Amino acid sequence: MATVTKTIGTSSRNYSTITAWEADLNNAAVYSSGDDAVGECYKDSTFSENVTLRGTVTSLDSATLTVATDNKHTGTSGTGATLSGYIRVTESASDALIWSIKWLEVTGDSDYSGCKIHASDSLDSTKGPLYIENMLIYNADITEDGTSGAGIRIGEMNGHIANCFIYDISHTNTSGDNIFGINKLLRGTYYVYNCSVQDIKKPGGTSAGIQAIGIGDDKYASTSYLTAKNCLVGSLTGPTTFCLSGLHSGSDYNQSSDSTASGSNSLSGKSAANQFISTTTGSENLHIIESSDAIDAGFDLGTTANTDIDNKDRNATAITWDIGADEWSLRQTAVDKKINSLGLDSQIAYLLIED
Amino acid sequence: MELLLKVGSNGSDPEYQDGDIVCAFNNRRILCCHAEMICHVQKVELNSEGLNPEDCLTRWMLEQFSQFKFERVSSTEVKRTNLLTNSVDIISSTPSSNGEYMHVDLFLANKRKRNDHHIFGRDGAEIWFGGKIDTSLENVNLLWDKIEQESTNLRVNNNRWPLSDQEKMRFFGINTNHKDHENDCDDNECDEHIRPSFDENGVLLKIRAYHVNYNNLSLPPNTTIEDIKNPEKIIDIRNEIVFDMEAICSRKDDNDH
Repeated sequence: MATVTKTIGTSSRNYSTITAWEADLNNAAVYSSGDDAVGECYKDSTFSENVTLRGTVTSLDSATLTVATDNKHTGTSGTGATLSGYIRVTESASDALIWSIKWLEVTGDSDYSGCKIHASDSLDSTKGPLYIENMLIYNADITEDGTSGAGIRIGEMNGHIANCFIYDISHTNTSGDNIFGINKLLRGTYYVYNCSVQDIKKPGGTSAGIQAIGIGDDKYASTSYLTAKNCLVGSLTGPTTFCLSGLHSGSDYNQSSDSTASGSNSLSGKSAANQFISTTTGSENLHIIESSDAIDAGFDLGTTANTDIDNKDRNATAITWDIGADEWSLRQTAVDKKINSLGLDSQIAYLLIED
Repeated sequence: MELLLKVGSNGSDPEYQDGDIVCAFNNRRILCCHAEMICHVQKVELNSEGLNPEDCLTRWMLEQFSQFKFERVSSTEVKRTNLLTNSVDIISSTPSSNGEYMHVDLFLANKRKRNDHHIFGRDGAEIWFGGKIDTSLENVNLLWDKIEQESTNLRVNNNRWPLSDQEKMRFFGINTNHKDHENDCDDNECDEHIRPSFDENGVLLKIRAYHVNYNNLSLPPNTTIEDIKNPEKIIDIRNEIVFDMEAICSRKDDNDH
C-alpha cells in the first residue's frame, strides 16, 4: 500500500521513455498489491513517442503519469516536460486501473484516431475513473480522414478534465470530419472543470463535418453525459462553430465568445480579444488579462479542480474563482498588484523593478 | 534501429509477452534525443539581463526545428517570421484581421518567471521561437553539423539510445540493421514494429504485434540467456553485435483476423 514513484527521462532516470515505464507496471519486483504507481517526467528530456496507457490487469490501486516537481509547465508551451505524440488510454475487460494524467505538454501532429488524448476504446461506463488535469495540449494538425478530431476525446468512462489549456488544434483535411477541443462520446458521467479552449479550427470540409467545437458531447441515445463548469472558450474557426455543444443541463458558469454558454450564471458573447495574454499562433498564452470577463465569474468547486494552471491553490486564500484554467488573482504577485495600483505601464514597471 | 524487448510475460494477452518489442529507436530519434540534451537551455548561462545569449546551441536548435521566430520590435509590437516560408507579419495588442494579438510585456514577463526560459537577446529586443517543431532527419543532421562545429560533441559518440540501468536490467536492448535497405528504418517502420494488434471491432488482442525470440539469438560469448533474464544484472550488448532485423523479428498477428 505504498506510492511507488519512478522517474522518466533520458538523462539518467529510471526509465528513458514513458512507454517503458508503462510496460513495467506489472512487474512484481517493483510494485506490490495496492500500490499507487507514479511516473514523473523531467523536462530535460523530450518525449517523442506515442503512449498507450492500459487499464492493465494489475493489483495496483492507481497509476499517475505526471511531471516532477519544478518540471511543471508555467502555462505556456516549452516550459515543462513535453510529449510530442499522442496518449491513448485503453481498458482491459478486467479490473479497471484508475489513471491520472497531469502536467504534461502534449503537442505535434501525431494523433490516435484523430485525437491527442484518446480514451474511447474498449471501455465501459463502469470503468475508470480517468482524471486529466493541468495539461497543455496545443499545435496539432489532425489530418486523418474519416474521423472527427479532438484535443481530448473521452468515451465510455467516468472522471474529469480540469485546469487545462487547449489551443491551436485543427482538422486540415477536407472531408466531413468535425474538430473539438474536448469531445465526449457514449455513456459515463464526465465533467470538465476550469478549462480554457481557444483556436480550434476546421478550415473547410464537406457537409457531413464542417464544425469546429470547443467543448462538445455527441450524446448517447439523446442523453448528454458531459457537464462543463467554469470553462472558457474563446475564438474558433470554421464554416460552423460552437463554443459549447450538446452538454448536460447541469453545465453552468461557463464563458463563450458565441451564444452557446447556457446556464443562468454563464457569460455569452464575450470576445476572445478581451480575455487572453496572447492568441498569436506559435506564441499563445491563455492566461487571462486584468480586463477579462472571466475574472471572479466562476463557481467555487471546493477541493475539486482547485489547482490552477500555474499550480496555485484556489483554496489558499478567500477568493472568488475565475472562469478558465488560470486564476488571475493568484498569479498577481505583490509586485504586480503594486504595478496595477500605480497604474503604470506594466512593462516599464517590470523593467524598473528588474533593475 | 535499436529495439527494447520485454523480458518475461506480464500475463496472458493482451498483456506484454516475453520478447515483445516495447520500443524501437531509429538513428533519427537517437541523434535527435542526444542533440536536444546537448542543446538544452538549462546548460546555457544567462546574460546580465537575464536572457539567453543569441549565439548558443539552444538558439541554433530552436531556429533549426521551429516554425516561427519572434522578435520584439517595440514596446507593443512583435515581428513574426515563418521560418519555412520567410513570410513576415507584425503582431500587436490590437487584434489582426484573423483575431491574433499579443500583450508582449505580459507574455515575456510570464515566460521569464523561471531562469530556464527560452528567451534570447536583450531587453526590448527579445527573440524567441514557437509553433510546430520539425525534427526530420534533415533538420537533425543540420543541427548536428552545428553541434560538431561549435562544441566537442560528436555524432559518433551519441549513436546509442540512452537506456537507463533499470531498463538494461529489466528489458533487453539490441541493435539491428536491415539487409534489404541501406538506410536506417524510418519513423513509420518504427511505429509498425511497436503497434498493437486489434480485432475488427477495435478490441485489443495483443499489446504488441511484433516480437523477437531472443532465446534463439547468437549472443556474444560473455552473455547468456540467464543473464538477460536476471533482473539484477545490467546487460547491454548493443555495441558488440548487430542483428539482422528481418531474420530475428516476427509478426504475431498474421492469424488474428
